[in-house]
Parts: sequence; structure tokens; C-alpha cells
Amino acid sequence: MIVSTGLACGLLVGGFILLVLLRVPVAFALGIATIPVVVMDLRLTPFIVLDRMFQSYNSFILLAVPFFLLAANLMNSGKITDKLIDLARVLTGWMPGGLGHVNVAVSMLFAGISGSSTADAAGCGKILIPAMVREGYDTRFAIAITACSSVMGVIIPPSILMIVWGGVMQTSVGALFLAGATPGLLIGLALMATVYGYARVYGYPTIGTPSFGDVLRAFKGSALALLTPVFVVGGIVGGIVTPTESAIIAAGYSLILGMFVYRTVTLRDLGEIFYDTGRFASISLFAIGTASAFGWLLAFYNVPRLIVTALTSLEFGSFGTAMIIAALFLFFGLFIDAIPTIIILGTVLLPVATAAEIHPIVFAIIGIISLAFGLVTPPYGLCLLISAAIGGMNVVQVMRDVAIILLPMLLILLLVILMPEIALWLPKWLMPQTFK
Amino acid sequence: MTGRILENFSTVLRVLLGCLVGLLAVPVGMQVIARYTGIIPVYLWTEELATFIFVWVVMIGSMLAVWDGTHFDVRVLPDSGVPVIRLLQDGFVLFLIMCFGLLFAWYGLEYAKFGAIQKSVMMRANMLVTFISVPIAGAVWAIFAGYRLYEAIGIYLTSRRPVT
Repeated sequence: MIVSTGLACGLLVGGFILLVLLRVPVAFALGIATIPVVVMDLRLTPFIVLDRMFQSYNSFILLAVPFFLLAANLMNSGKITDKLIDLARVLTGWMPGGLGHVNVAVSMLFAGISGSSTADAAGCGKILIPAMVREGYDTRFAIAITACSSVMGVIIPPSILMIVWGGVMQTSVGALFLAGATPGLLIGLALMATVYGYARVYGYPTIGTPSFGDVLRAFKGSALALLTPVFVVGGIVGGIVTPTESAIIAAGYSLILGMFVYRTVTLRDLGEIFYDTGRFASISLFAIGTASAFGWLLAFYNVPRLIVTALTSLEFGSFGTAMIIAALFLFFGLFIDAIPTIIILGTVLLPVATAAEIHPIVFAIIGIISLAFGLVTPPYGLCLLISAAIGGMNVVQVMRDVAIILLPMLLILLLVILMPEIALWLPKWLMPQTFK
Repeated sequence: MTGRILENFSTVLRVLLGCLVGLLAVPVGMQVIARYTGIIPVYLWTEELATFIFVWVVMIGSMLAVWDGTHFDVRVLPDSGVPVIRLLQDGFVLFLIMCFGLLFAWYGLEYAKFGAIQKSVMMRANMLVTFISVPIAGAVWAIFAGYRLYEAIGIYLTSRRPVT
């Protein structure tokens, strides 16, 4: 038989939701949900779906994912994170709620080097959550601010999500990196304002004003680590290196710092770091294959075109469509990992955004910020799960604080939707060729 | 006995995964060094070799995640305290993964045969070298999930046995 679009859509999406609710791992749920359609439709064979899945791994740009994760793991193992914390301490620790600001600032610095939010939550959380609790901060607040600030990892360049987005949607990764910088910094400032508000209400302490010598020492200690974004972002934006090459340079540089400069990574550690990197990267990347097969089937049944027609007929305009796009990404981000969501939802919504005359880079930034928020929203908020595990609490116990901290961050997302120039001005200025 | 064999097998996979990640850095690193320093010539096969290794990293990682139970899932429904419902919850998931693995292995064999008649563009390597990862991954998921299912049933049966 030939399966109709409605039935195929119901079987695919309905089947996937049912399987996820029954706790089938997302990567497998995406693959299993394709089986009924493939069995029923005469035009499809398992071979086609298998090939779609397998060929999605045949991508050089995706190699950047394990290398950025490797760089982040090397930074955490090589105590480079500690040096960034020292720098954040002297830069922001003097404000009321000192360690809260340090938490935000170090996430911004870490984001500028690694591109992984989960590595940020794990690396910084291990040090800062216990430190904040010792200083009298509420554990729930310490967990919530660690989780929420870590989402900047995928918004401030370099970003693993931007590399995947650029690869899947054929958008310039360099332009995406530049477009993420301003919204990322604004989210950082919004987080610091929230920490300040908390400090005022709960009387959280400052760390004390650092001396000039302390500042100098902290800068000296972290200067080599701070050079990483220069190689990575500068290299990609300048068209000197590809995203994958920049990722291997970041990993190689972190390795040199850890093994030869700071001498904190040994050969024995290296095996463990390689294994950890492979383990985590492959879990995320495996889902790319099943998501690609799932997304291909949606496209085969013309689902993206139907969504475009439906949304265009409603005449929401650019703003309304951008709001719907953000809402959809936020919703999907609650349940699915960001990378498969980009492949399934991103490719479906790209023609919708194009029809509504939303610039592809703005569309990407809206999608990535929305998905980044999904990292701290249950049931599938990886950064929140990591931070809560470090703080020894249940996710439900910290939800109130997460909601409070997320509100100003959502306002920044709204601001980007209202004023796309916030994202566009930097790539327009530094990469004008992308806009021709 | 079977458990010990599978545990040892998973250890081999772990070592292999770590080695492959380290190895992955070699061709990509060579590419960067060749392009920007000129110390070594530009080899065209580095990109191809890197993607070959990458495929195996993803597949071996997915196998280990089935054994360790670390594939991401979404916990919307609470854990049941009733042993039989718990068995149904966990068992259903493992059973589905096992069936998916078997299908993957079965159709993957055909897919691997398709790979065996192709050669890669740069290295002229037989594509079986990566395509074979599909049926292997499917078979290993099925074995790992099947054993975990067997364990889950064992735990349930033990919990039902009266304490003497």
C-alpha cells in the first residue's frame, strides 16, 4: 500500500512520542518509530532508511563534535577550568553574590573556549557548587545558577550546536559563531543581574576586592587558555580553518597546555579522557543517524511543505513565525537532545522561516538559544541533571530557582526575535560576504 | 558466565573506543599540519580515513551505551515500586532495543554486502570496512539488550522468591 501523509505523520510522530513516554532511549525511539511506515509503504525499503542513517555519519564537519568535547574534557582534567575560575573570581567576585557572578563569568569564559554546555556544567559545577554551599549560598540556587549559566556554552562561540546546524542547514559556521556572541553576552549579563537580585534579597556575600597583583596573577595564569577562542573563532571567521580543523586545534592546544605547560594531564589520564570523550560524543552522534532517517521520512511525506503552507496561510508575519519557531524549539528541547532536534525540526522549519523572510542566521540563533534553554528544563535537561547530581538534589527541588533564573534569559530570546540586528550586526560587520 | 564474557567484551570495546578517539586525531591533525605548516605533504586520504574511524567511534559508543544503559531517555513517568511493573517498564524497553538490533543486524548484512562491492574514492578501500559496522552494531545491541532483559527477569524472580 501507499501510506498517506496524514497516516505516516501520525505513525512517525505519534509512535515516537509514545516510545519516548515509555522510556525508550530517544535515539532508538526515532529509529523504531520509522519501522511501521517502512513496513506498510510499498515505496520504502529498510535499505533506504538504513542508508539515510548511515550516510549521515559520513560528514567531515561532524568530526568537530568529538574534538570540541575532547578539548573541554582536557580543560577539565588539566585544571585549566581552575585557572578560568581564578580569573572570574578577581573579575566579578567583588560584587554582592560574588561566587554566583564567578559561576556566570567562568561559564562565559569556558563557553568561549569549549563549545560544550554539559562539559561546562560538569567541570565548573564540581568546583563551584560545593564552594557556594560552603559560603552559605542556598544549594538550590547554586545548582540552578550553575545549570543555567552553562547553557551559554552552546550560544557563545565556538559552539557544537552551531557547527551541527551549519553542517545540516548549509549556513556559514563563522557567521553563526559571530551571531551568537552578542546574545550570549546579553544572557550572561541577564544572569549576573539575577545573581545580584538574589544577593540583595538573601544577603549573599562578596569574595572581597582583589588587589592589582591578584588581577595580574589571574590574567597571567589563564592567558594561555584565553588564547583558544582567538585560534578557534578567529580561524573560522577569517576563513583560515574549517570548523573541524579548529576543533582539533583547540583539542591539541588544550592537550599541550595540560601535558606540557601546566603538567596536570598524564599519559594515563589521556586514555580515560579519550574514552570519556568517545562515550559521550557517540551517544549524541548516534542519535544523528536515527534522527536523519526520521527526518528524511517526514520530508518524503512532504510534511515540511504542508507545515509551510499551513503557517503561511495563517499570515503570522516574521515576528509571529519567529515566536512559533522559538516555541517549537523550546517545546522539543524539553524532550529531545538538541542535535536530533536540529536535524528533524530545524530542517522542517527552515522553509517556514524562509517563507516568513527570517534571515537563516537569525533563524539559527533563535533555534539554538531555544534549544540551549532545553538543557535546563526537565524532563530532559542534561545540564540541570548534571548540576543537580553534583549538588545532591532532585531536579524537582531546584525547579523554582531555575524558573526564576530562566525568565530574564527568555527575555533576551524575545529581544533577539524583536530585534534580529542584535544577532546580525557582528557577522554583517566582520563577514559581509555572507550577506551578499 | 555469559555475564562475565559480555563484561570482558564491553571492556575490549571501551579500550577500542578510547584508542579510536586518539587515532581519530591523527588524520585530522595531519591535515591541519600539512595545510598550515608544509612539514608533511597534503594527503587526500586523511579526510576519508577520519570519517571511517568516526563511523566506528559512533557505532562502538552506541553498543557500549546499550550495555551501560546510558543512552539518553526521558523520565516522564515515575519509577514504579511494584516489581512486576518495574520489570514491564524496563523489560519493554530492552525488548524493543533487542528487536531493533536484530532487524538492524539482518538488514545490515544486506547493507554490508552493498558496501563490499564499493571502493572509497581516495584510498580505494573496500567500503565493507565501515558498512560492516551496521550489522555488527545491530547484533551487539541485541545481545547486550537481551542479556540485560534476562538479568531484569532474574532480579524480578529473585524478588518473588520467599525468604527462607
